[in-house]
Amino acid sequence: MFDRPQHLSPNLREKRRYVAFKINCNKPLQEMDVNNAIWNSALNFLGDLGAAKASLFVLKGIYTPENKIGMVRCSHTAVEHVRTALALVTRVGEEPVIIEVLGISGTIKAAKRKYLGERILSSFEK
Amino acid sequence: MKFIDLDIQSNLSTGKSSVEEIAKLAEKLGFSGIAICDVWQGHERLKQLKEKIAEVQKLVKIEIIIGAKIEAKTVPELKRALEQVRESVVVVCVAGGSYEINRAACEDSRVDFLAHPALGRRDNGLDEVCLNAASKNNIAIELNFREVLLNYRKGRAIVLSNLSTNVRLCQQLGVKMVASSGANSVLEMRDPRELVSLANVIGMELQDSFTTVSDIPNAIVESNRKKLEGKTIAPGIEIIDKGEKSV
Repeated sequence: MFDRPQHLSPNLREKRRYVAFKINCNKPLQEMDVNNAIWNSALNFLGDLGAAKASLFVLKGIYTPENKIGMVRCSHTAVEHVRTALALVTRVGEEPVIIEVLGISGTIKAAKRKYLGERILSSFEK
Repeated sequence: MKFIDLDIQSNLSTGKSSVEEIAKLAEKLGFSGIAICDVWQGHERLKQLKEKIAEVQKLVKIEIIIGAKIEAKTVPELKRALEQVRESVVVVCVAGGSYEINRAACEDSRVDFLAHPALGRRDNGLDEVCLNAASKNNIAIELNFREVLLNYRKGRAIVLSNLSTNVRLCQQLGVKMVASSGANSVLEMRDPRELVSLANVIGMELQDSFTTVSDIPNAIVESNRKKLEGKTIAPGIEIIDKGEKSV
């Protein structure tokens, strides 16, 4: 027996977008602080219901203090709202920051390839 | 319109308020009926609840329905509880949260509705298999107001997101939904119109939102009463009394 719901069939799945962002700051920042700053900004700007409708989720395991690139998942209808919420982040912990959106993608794989410089097998063959 | 709140706990189980307090406030709020769904703790406790309800029923005009909420940790435990409780109460609900329990509840036609399937989860707790089974077995999924009420900021956003996903999936797969307060004390009880607003806000049409508090709970109570009186033999087959016209 499974311990979590199985994947929905494509017609029932919600369309998602992955927003890749880069944090402009000279000091290293922890993932947890970045996560909290994004959630606070989204909740202040969009409210509880707006954040819920945007299906906001900050992906874990992508951000590292060295590269400072992270990814946010949201509903395809709420991309502009999430972009604005990211633009409104001014501080992470005690550090003043600017969040720059690198781009938007429909899959994590494509987002990693485009914005994190990850290479797939076919690119090596060429 | 007749409004019924199907999920309220009294102080005979996990709740904090007495049946009398709950019934009086429900009458004031505009409900025509409430179901006291105390956590199932055996026949002795149920007998106490029935006595209490019989006492309070004389003091108020609204209808007080006897229900039971099954909080099982494993599937065999759930099946055992359902076997014991089904014949004794009008409304049976299962406390969800674990995917295994959610799925087992959706696959068992003795269950009336599944309460808070996403409780304590990051996901919505239901998938296509569960919802198709719920649709087939005529089991409703609950929209629990208490979950929204007790969470704050990020937690509330996650709860609302899960609820709206469940609403969307239930509408697409033809599963019924019931909105209820899930109250543990009188302070958590809300007006039926507010429950309608919650359902509307998270993605249901206003007309459909009204049915989650009135038509669907009424239909559940009516059909179960008929079953308990022995009028319904099987789905679609009813014993009609002498002198009554056939439907």
